[in-house]
Amino acid sequence: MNATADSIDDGGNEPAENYLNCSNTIASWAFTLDHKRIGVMYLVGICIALLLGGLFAMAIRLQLWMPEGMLFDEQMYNEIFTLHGAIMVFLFIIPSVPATFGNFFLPIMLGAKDVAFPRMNLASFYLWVFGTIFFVAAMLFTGLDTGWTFYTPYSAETSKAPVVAATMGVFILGFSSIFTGLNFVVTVNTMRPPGMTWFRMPLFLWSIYATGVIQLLATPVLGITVLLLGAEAVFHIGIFDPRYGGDPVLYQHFFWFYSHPAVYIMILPGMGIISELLPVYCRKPIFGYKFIALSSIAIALLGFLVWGHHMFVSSESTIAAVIFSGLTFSVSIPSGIKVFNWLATMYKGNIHMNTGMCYVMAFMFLFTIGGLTGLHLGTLATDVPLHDTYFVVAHFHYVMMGGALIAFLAGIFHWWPKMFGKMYNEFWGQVSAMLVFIGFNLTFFPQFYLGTLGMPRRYASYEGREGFPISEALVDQFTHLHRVSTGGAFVLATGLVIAAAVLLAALLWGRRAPRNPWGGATLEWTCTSPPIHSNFIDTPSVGDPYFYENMEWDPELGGFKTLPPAKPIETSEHQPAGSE
Amino acid sequence: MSATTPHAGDLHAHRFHAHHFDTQEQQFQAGKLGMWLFLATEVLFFSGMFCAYTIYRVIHPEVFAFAHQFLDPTLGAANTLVLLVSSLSVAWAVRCAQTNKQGMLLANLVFTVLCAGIFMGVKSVEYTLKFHEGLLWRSAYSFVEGSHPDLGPAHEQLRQFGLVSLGIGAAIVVLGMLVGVGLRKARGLFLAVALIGILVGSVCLARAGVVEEMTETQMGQMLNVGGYALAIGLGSLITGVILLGGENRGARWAFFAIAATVVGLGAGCLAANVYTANKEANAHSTHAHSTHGEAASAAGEQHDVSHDETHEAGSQHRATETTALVNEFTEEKLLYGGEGPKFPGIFFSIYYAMTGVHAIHILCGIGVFVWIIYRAAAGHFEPSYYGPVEYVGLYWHLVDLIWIYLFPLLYLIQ
Amino acid sequence: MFANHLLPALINLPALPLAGFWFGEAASTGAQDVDQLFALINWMCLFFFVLIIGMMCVFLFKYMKRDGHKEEWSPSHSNMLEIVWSVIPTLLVALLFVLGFKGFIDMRTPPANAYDIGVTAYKWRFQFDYPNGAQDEELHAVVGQPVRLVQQSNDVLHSLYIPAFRTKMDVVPGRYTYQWFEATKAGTYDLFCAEYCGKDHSNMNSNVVIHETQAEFDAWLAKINTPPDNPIEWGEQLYTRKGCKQCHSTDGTARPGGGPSFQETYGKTHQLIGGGTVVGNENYILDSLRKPQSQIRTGYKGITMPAFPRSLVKDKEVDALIAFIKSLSPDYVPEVETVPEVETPEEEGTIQDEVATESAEEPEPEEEPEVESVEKTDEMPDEEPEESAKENGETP
Repeated sequence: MNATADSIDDGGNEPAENYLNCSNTIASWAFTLDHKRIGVMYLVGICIALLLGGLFAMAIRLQLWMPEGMLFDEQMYNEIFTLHGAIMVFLFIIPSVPATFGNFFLPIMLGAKDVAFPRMNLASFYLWVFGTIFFVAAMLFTGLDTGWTFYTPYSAETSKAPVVAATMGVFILGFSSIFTGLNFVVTVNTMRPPGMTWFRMPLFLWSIYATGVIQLLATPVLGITVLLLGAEAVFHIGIFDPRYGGDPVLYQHFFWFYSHPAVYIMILPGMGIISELLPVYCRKPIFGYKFIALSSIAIALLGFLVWGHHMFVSSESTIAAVIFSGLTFSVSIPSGIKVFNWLATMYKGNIHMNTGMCYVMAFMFLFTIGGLTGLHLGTLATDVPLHDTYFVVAHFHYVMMGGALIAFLAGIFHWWPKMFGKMYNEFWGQVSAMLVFIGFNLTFFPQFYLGTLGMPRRYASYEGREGFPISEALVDQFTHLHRVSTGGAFVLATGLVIAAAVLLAALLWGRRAPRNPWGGATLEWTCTSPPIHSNFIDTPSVGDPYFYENMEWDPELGGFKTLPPAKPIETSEHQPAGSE
Repeated sequence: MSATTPHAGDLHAHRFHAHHFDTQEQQFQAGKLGMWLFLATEVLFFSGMFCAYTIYRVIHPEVFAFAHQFLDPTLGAANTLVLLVSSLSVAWAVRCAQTNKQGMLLANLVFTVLCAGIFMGVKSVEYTLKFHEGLLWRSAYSFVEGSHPDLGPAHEQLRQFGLVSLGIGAAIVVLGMLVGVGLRKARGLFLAVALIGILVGSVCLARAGVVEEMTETQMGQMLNVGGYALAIGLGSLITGVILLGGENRGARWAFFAIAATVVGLGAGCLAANVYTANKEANAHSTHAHSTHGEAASAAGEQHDVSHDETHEAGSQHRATETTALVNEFTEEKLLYGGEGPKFPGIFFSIYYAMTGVHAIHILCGIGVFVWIIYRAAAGHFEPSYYGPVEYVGLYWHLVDLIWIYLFPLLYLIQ
Repeated sequence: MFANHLLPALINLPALPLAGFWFGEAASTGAQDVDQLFALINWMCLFFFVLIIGMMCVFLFKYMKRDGHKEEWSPSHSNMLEIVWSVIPTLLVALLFVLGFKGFIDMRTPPANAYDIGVTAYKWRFQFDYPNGAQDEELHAVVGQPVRLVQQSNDVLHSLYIPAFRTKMDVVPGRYTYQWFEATKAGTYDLFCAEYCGKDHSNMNSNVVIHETQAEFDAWLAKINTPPDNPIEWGEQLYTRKGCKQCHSTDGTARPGGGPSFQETYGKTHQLIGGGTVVGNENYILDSLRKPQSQIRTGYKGITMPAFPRSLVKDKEVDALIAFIKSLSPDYVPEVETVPEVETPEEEGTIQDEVATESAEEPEPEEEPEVESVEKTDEMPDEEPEESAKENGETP
């Protein structure tokens, strides 16, 4: 990190000291209460989790190259897909955007000095680290093979140690998530400076706020569920295990009561990022601000009413299935509203196709497919054949990965100059976006077809068993599709590696970033790049977060400057703020 | 009432004013909202178990009708009263902080932890008695009228649980040591964490090793004695650590608080033991048979069926009935069950889950109160700054409130 | 009315090619309904996809940054537009909901004349119980005859999925679940387990065989229900049909992750994990089948064979399997030493007798193989005969 410090002061118009170089000891990072440093530490952590989960994903794709499975036996494969799912869901996607960009930018965009409870924020990070070490070690050493959903009775009967350890890990991670969410909700509620009214907040904050509400209300239910599951595995308390009079479907209800809202914990912040980036790159105010803001809240609330759609064929009662199906469709409306508003924002704009915008466009494309295929699954009659097939796998990867991960990438390219004060290479950034987009579609679109053809999830091989081979024509089709998918996965992985390389190279060799390289109007762009320890030199004046008409590209700065009427042009008079 | 705002006119920066808040009012409101949101998560946390309770009560009403009779409403009511009084004292403490009555503030807070101690004491007696009689969770339930229950599976499961806890304790120790050694600034903190980890781990290990060879009476004594030993040991340990830090008022009062908790624990334990002993003596003089004669006969026909089967199956008390849907399960099943209708253990599963998690909340509350008492004695709280007292008070009210629901739902069925 | 008549008519023509591409062959009455609905959703999705992505691309090219181009003012909100793009999708998804709901109710409502076939799922295969008592691993049915599957699980969650019929239902331990179909084409179709159930989840598939005529089906049923006279032959059939083959070889090699070879079983002394030995006799085989965890041989630690209670392998079938395993033993001398067929039943008879004395509920092995498994009320615990058998085994 300190590599950035050398070149900071050569511009002459920025303070030499920022949050990265104001102190250097390990302890100053390990015990920092600065939301920005915590955000950066989270960023490092979840990128490691992403790498790990990604490696397991590649292992899965390679395994399915051959109908009989190329690399592993069944047991090993089951452990690998469990690891992939659990790591990606609990360690990567859920904390990804809120814990990194939320932590880093929420107070800044709000105009606050820090989140409401900085110590709790740090505790949240360490809980995440501890939970992660515990969880991954538990899964690696004990061979957890229940799938990330821990469905009973399989999870209660097979082996105790892995299930107990993994549930402990999930429990700890849940606390981390609750702390983060609680911090954000309180910060937004109580720490808005004068002038920052609810409807002047950037949309990213609205989405983070909605996410925080979900984290608060859903995660405790997961906590009690995994506690009861652990008790079931050790003490056989007979709540979830039918051998002892329990009900396995009750477990599914409990589990999805958390895990469906968790889907919105994953995607809402992503939508927030898109709402933030799109107007900046289109140089147009966001269209339908209030509708986008309120649709976030609507999604958060409606998201609690639809968990039953994971269980249409789990022997949930027909009437429950019908009700949940109806409610499920209701969630599609606010999501649709967002997409249409984004489109309208582009109208008559001046679209800058920077790397960030490339990812935004990729998001729009992939999320649209992910959302629309949700209709096939929300419709009861068509869900029945598609449930637990690769159609579902493709659908949720389009939403989770095409949505949350791509938005995360968009955000990281957008805010990298602000976070680390360095510009990256545009060309290679766009190449990475292109490769990720192509690779993604190659990987996951064939899986829709695999699913409709009948390929079930979580299969280590697809040739059938001795005496009962799967029909040859089907195996042929499966093989071709899986191979396209595996090939695509390599393209996708290449794209991600290039993206990482571009960003890391920027840290070392990038040119110094101006304050406002993209011309954003939210408060973080009034800070220095990177921001100083206390975020703002002067108390920021809150304006319209999507008003771009007073900005102008300044080739000398390599960024945008704000014209006099609204705010003074940034000057070199600012003292290095040593305020501590 | 207690929620009056701090003096708005108080402009000078208070020593506990965090730099990132503009005003102290903002800091107070943020803390309060944070606590309310945390309470919301707590409610949802318990709601999972209330949901499970509701579902199983609907599916197996006869189990609840049968099994709740083993719970003593008098002990439950006593505990309810204790918690209600403690809720009052904590509310009073908040008021004292607002009006700057330092003495009463401390007195109220110490009284609150005393009540918490009594509650835990009574609870431990209840748990011990149930353990003796085999009134345990689903797979370990082995109550048989008038004879010794088979506690084998319970011991085995507790042993496994002990080993798992040991593993977790060891993980904490290793992590604490590593970080503690690496970082000077927080070495003390992490060493303390490590120490607690070692303590928890060794207690678990001792329990894991000892549990198998003990008879259930010894087991019960161990539970009591172990409880005392653990509480006193931990208490003096923490006290020692704190007192080492300097001869100050806060540390002394923190010690008093821990002592008050232990005293409460002992008092609650003793009172409950005396009460149950009396009750049993009375029951023996009237009913030659046993305390639970009525309870057992209330179970009805299903009880009789399983009763017969239990005798058939011999000393292992393997219940042979399966679910109503007649499902044969292939694996070797530990379908332990004692007397009573089908699956009486499910009631106790829920009972232990709910009251156990509630008891953990009481323990956490005690810990937080010790910290608050430390701060109160050090003179941190005054009318312009009393947020922490109020937040902890809110938490305590919630813990109390949950018990108010648990008591009728578990003890007063029908 | 709209949903009933007009809509299918509207979508029928364009629907079929699109659905045919996506799904595989449709071979049941329900499948066609699902395909039509799927095609309708596809068209709807295609419309919105083209609309959204098309507009995105148009805007992208039209308003891309270039020399001389500047953003222009346009309103930044419009209630009219918001209402339009909220209400129209709402109406469309409401339509989907109604259609999906209708289709789902049809899927959940088997016709009154449905033919019941029991399904027992266990790790890792399905067993189908036909009303006449026949059991098989394949699902057989007749064209045009509605079939209702009455499913129960022996251990964990499973899900029975027949892609060609577009039906799927989880098999949940502790309760019965149902699904039904009416095949429209004769042929052989794939059947999968779709709910993750452990190690061999991906090998838990089977076939659905749809017969052209009832007579053909009856003939098959009769054949499956009359075991061959020769117990060794029957045992060999059961070896495949009951899934022993998956984990146990007959040539002396141990399958990876599987159990010991059947060639190595009979007439040898085996070391057990945790000390002790056991002689590979009839009791050992019976125990291994009914209560496999009670004696695990060294070298097979951590491999969990599921138990096979009476509902899965009947006593007579155990006899046949024992005969088959015996015949694989290297020491076995066939035919010449007069009739193993006679010898085997004799030995089994002793066990049967002892079992029978312990439990009056024991179904008579000779006459009817078993009542329909769906109605089985066999309360007798498995332990008892096994314990007696074990004692038996220890005494010699």
